[in-house]
Amino acid sequence: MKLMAVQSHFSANERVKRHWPFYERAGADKIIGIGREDTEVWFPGGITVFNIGKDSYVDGDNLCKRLVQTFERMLEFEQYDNLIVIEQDTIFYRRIPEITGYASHHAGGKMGGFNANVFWHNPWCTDRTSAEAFVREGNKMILEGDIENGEPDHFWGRAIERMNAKCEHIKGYTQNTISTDQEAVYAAKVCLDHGGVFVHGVDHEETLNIIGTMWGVCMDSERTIDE
Amino acid sequence: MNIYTFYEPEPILADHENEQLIELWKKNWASHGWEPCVLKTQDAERHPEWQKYRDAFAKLPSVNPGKYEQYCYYRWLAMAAAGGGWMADFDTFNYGFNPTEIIDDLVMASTHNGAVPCLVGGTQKGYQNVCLWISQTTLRDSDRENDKPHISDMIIAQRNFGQIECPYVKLDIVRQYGDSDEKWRTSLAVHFPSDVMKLNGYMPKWKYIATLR
Repeated sequence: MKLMAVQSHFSANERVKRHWPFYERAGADKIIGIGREDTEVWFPGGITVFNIGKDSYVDGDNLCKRLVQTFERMLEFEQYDNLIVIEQDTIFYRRIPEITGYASHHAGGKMGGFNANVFWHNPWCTDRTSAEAFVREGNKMILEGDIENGEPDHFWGRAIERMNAKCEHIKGYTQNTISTDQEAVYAAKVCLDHGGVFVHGVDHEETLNIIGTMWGVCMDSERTIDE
Repeated sequence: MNIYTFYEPEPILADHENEQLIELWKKNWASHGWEPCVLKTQDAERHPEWQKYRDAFAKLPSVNPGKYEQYCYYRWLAMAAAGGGWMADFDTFNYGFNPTEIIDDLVMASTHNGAVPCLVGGTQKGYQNVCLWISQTTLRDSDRENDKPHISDMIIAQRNFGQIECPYVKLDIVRQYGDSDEKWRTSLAVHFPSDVMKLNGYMPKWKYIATLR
């Protein structure tokens, strides 16, 4: 069974409302929300929420700790054997496959100033045993200050390399922000025609409308989410 | 994922400044997780039909000096010989474009003025198709510059891309430096064309690009 955690922040509250039906397409049996300790982060009513970390972007080890502690909290849900962490700007076209070991999106190679040879964008997925190993290694890295400039994409990669583990590539389209209509069309096609599972970098409502329309998802703005 | 560019020094153009630009280009793309690779004529020569294409390209007229235009054609052959992938001009810089899957035979990441192939993705077949279009190009009356016959891979690309027999998919993430809409200030990649850079007194480019955004 799959458990998915959506990491969000205060300024993304409206986006989370829009994206919720697209999170559900990932096929998780349960979704939980990860808010922040210092701000009001919105999630639908009935969703279990944990507040982890401060409302800042890359700031020391804030986001690395947040990632490790998110998996720590997820491990408390003992009936789930697949754990998936996503950022709120990631939407899904199809179900995430069953994961053995680690899986995420290979977003690029070694960059100057980082130790990891590969950086990985979310969704960050593990099986239960691998999540336990990641939490152990991640906490060790934080203590040692081996935190990849506080960037979780690199931190994930570094942890996997330190453990001599393998990470499977999940197909999808990812940029920090999808910025043009044609780019949104391209991203939608990666999933529609080329086996992509997700699109990351969906910040704007227009982008979501283009992708949702192409995917044939009902874009009913009146859809009611339990507040 | 590799990002390719093509460079062959052209002595007549005294373009030694390009070598510094290419070093900057390599650092820029590597800083976004790509592996920069510079292709040369010898990479085009690896194409199994190198001689046939080289001879066909040589018949196309150009107002540009030396072999400048020929090198522009060779880059498509070199990319086909490399098996496809992403190719950028060495004056196209990355500001956040992550390695991305190529979902059609050709992907035009720049749709400025129709089609400027300053950042292109393609399969081997896609690049091979471009080589074929170039080699089969017939000049039109309008193919002139300064009253002399002239054609280029950019003109050929604009003429062919999007035709039924030459489909491509648009990605549209490149903006051109200096465009009045200022979108180049936030786009994922920026092309710094020579004419605009010259007009603004920003030559050699390598000295200025890092200061412009």
